[in-house]
Amino acid sequence: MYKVLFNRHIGPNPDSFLLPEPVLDVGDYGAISTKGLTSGHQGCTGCGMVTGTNQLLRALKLTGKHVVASIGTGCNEVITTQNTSCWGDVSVDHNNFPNTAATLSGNIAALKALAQAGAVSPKSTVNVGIAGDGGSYDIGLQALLAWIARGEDGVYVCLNNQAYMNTGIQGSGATPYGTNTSTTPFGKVIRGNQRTQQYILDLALAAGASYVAAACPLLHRDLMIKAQKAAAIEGPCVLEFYSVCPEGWKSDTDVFHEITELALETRSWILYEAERERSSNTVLFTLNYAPKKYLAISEYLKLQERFSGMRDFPEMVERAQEIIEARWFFWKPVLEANGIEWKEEARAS
Amino acid sequence: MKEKQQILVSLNRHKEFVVTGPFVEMRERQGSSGPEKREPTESDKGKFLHPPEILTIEEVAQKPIDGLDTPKVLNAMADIGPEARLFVYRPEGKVTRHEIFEDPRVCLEIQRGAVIENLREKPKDVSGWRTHDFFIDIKGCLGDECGRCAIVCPENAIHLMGKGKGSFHEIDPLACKGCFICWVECVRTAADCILVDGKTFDPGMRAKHFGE
Amino acid sequence: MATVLAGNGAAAWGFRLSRVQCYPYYPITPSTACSEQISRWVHDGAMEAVTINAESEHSAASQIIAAGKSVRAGTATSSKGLLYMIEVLENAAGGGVPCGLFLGNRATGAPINIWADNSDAYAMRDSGVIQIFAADGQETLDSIIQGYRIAENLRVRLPFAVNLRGFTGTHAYEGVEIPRPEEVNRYLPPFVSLHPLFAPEKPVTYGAMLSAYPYRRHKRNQMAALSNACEITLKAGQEFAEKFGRSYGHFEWIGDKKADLVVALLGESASAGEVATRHLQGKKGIPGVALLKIRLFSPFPAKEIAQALHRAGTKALVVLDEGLHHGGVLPPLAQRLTTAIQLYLGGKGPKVASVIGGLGGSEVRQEHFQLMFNLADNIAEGNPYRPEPYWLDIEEDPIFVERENQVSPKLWRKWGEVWKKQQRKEKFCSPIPPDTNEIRIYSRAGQGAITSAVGFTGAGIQNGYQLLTVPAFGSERRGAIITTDTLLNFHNERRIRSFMRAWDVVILYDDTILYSPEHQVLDGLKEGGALLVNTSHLSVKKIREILNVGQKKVRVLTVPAEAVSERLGLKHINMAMLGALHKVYDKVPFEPAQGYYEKNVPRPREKSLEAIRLGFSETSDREIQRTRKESRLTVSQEFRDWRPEDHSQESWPSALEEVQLG
Repeated sequence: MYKVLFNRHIGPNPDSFLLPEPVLDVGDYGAISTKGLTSGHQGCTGCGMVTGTNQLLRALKLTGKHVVASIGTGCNEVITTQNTSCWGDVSVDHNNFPNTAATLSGNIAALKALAQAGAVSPKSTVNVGIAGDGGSYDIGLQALLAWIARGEDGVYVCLNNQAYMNTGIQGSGATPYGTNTSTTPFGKVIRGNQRTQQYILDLALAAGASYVAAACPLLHRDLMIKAQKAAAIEGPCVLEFYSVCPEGWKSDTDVFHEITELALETRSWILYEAERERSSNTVLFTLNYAPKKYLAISEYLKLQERFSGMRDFPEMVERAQEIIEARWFFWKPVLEANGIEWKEEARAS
Repeated sequence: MKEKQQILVSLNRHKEFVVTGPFVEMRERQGSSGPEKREPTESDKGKFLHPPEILTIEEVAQKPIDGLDTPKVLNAMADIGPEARLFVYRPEGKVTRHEIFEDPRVCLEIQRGAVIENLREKPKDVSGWRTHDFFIDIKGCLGDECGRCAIVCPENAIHLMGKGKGSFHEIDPLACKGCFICWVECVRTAADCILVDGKTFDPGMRAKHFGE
Repeated sequence: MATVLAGNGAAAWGFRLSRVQCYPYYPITPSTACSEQISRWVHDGAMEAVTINAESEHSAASQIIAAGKSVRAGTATSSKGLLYMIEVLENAAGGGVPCGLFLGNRATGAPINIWADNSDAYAMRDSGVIQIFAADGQETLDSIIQGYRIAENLRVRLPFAVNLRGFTGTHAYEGVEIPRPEEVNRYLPPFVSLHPLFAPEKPVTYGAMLSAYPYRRHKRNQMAALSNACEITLKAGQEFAEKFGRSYGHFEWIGDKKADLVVALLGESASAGEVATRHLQGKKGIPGVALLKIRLFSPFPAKEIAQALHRAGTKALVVLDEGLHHGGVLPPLAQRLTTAIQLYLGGKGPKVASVIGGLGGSEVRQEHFQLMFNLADNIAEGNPYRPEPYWLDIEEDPIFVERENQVSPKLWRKWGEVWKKQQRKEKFCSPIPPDTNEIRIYSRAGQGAITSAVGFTGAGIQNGYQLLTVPAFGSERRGAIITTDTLLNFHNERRIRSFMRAWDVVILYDDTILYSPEHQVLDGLKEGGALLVNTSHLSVKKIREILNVGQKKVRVLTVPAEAVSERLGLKHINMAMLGALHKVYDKVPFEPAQGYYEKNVPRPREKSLEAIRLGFSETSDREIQRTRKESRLTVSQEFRDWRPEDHSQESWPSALEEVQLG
């Protein structure tokens, strides 16, 4: 276990006790000089995951380093490499579905070997692994946790769209309770996904990650700070991006903003980061966003047809709300210190 | 009673991380400026691998290589045929290794060995995907002060043109799939300057997104 | 000068001399020791490489494939570990990544079996990897170096695997020439990545998704690259021979140039085949015989092998597969050979019979090869033979049957007509005279018998003999009785790696082993052979009595090794036993061997050397007044026969009655 401390301040945080200098804060407004993927990929219209990838790459390139991406099979990979490559000046190593972290590990080892031989300067390259939630929570978990446990220096990004979208929307370890997917259909007897979702960042932290952070591309300033921090902090860093998926979530392609906002306001997606101080095994948690008003989970369920079944079952909605409250409770000390109520009843409008 | 304060072990040169109970507060470092600023070492400077070149007979003919007997190389390549390649490795500008070989992996559409050289690829035209046309009215665009449409665009279709005052954004018509994300972003947080099918006002979409 | 190395150690040297830069590993029997050795070197700073303590073979394979895009990478595995890797290995072949694997071949089960056969290598044959089969430690070391040379060739750029049979290969200690690093450097140039990831100048994408049109073209190219490996292997072998004096090709032809009868196989079992072939060569009434030891399995040198068979005028070919066909027509090697012969020689080629043997650690012995040549001879004469594989050492389904009632009626109905016409011929099956000396040690796991046997092997090799030590392995843990066998060959002109199992010396590390009902220590001891026992209280007479030696011509000797070690404060008795062995067996002379021990004995060196000397001098076949009395209680036969009674059965009948009464 580790000692838990809270950052009293809520909000994006370019500073870290693990870094001598703050990372670049791109601010809420202003053009960003770097580019992400090239255009012409095969992703869905309105794909929130590619927005996340773009922002990640733009942030990593802001550090001035060469980016080597070890990518796992999944939407992000197939839409960007079908008979071409949309990765521009990023070198890409796609190997397979279950081994993103192992591929990342191999590339980190290669960089280390080349640096030992004096062929490259290790600090001028950032190794990043990119996989989906299925490739991180399920089939790739073994490789991911072992990579973290070995303490290798790299960034792992989970683009979480909460199901296996590439193969046709099957339930994964990250699928929320009650969701209708093609393998957890909303049936007459069994109503949607009966599991509650797991949290990869909790697992990563327990395995010994130096830095973990949850972000969403709607708040790009926060996401880009986190990506740069992960690139700069030594040791294994794990990021998880909220990735709106119009196809899998059965939502309109134009409601990227609304869905993400609802996720944040209902606290079904919590923006936070955690940094580990190794000598005292202390983890500093920072809440990066606290909703102005808490919305009930039922609001979040409205825009997405994947939740259409459970909407009509108050006990299921209640259960979903309980899951959220149980997780939000963790932040009680910070919220109280900032004069914010932590209970839903008190703040729901 | 005042709780005992502690300082978290930190590399940060500017901030101190003060621990009080379960809380940490950042404050500017007082007195000393924190840990020494590390001068960039040799290993921080960008030293990278030099990729070897794999050249066709035409490429060798066009650009003879210093240190190689080009006519001899060309003859040897011609003997092999169209699949002949010249492997040249010159990490510091000088040829350290070279070899003429018949490449089993020549595959015009996808380059050698299913390894794609990214910069040789041209973006695909996905304009057929969209059902509405999007266009930024440059008169209203805030240019590099804003950039909010470009950062949320899933297609990387929006590019900044120019610099400073007078700069503006443009949507690449080959790359835009028409998802409305930039439009929503622009209306909500910026200048509301994106035209959809040539119109500034789309009552249906505005009602849906902004309750107007 | 040869050094004593086990097959795994030789493989590790192969990787080290190839200057492997990235070596991830995950342990699996029997190839683990290769990875252990490399980790040891890296941790001691003797080898500059980045090792990764992977959490599975799947990840280890992923890591060599990732790292292999930028640096020279390798790993070792076996059995299920290889099967776990296969999922990603296709990406190495498809992506043109020249990384290396060392495989200690092992059965894949189920049932679980940790011993050798080729099932794992056969399972990977469709993953596009170059597969080389080595027959001993030396060939393993040399083949790994050549493997990188072949794999990194611009016309190939593919992963390779060097296979060595588990235990009899991976755990056999023998003399291996370790080439000088600078010479290897001249043979194998530094690794240059064609498409490095760490070159921003030319960013690349590996493993893109290809649709049918480019996919099929790419796959065709991949196959072309793999078949190029056939020619490149030959070239790499020739150049290796020029530099290092040991030549390697697609296969080795052992025996007569003109050979009517040929037995073909892969890998280490060829050592027994070689002994049998040499024995049969030139015997009266036996036509030309040869062993076809195939080294390159993938890409299969079909044309070259067909031509070789044609040149030799071969009439019958018996193919030994150490693995199964699983519903195929013939097992993999037999299948490939039949296809090669059909394609290149058509009806003019030899007839082919298939034999399955060596499964799950089954020994393929010299007499098996005699049977296979016998079978080939019958086939060459035009006798009928099975269109499906024969099996070795299945009593009820033998290759030759003398009498009908030897086998089950069902089998007789199926194969009776074939069996009747397949005769075992004495000229093929005459006993092979022992040509080697062999020593067996019975010890308890943890007593250090392997260390002493390996030391003895080293001393013998340094003095110009060919020695081989093979420890037995199983699931036994500390305290169990294990065997360690050493073979000595005095014919320097040829290598012999196969045991006759006729012991010149049998050594007991512990006198209590005399009482083990599982171990008949006199079994296999040659007439005039010696039995050496570590004991401080048993007399020679008593030992003869316990073993019921009677009038048999057996020398019995004792050595108080435990007392010697105790006196010196040594934890293990093995050094004293090593000295004693020299006293019992003088063909490896003690004086020159001491020079070797002075440099190589385990620490504390002085005490170990003293123990060797004392072990030598205190070994005797005379009745010596021992200081200690036997403390073992006499055990009655009743006690030995006693078993806890099984009461559970007794209540059954009455319980059943109750049910019926009901």
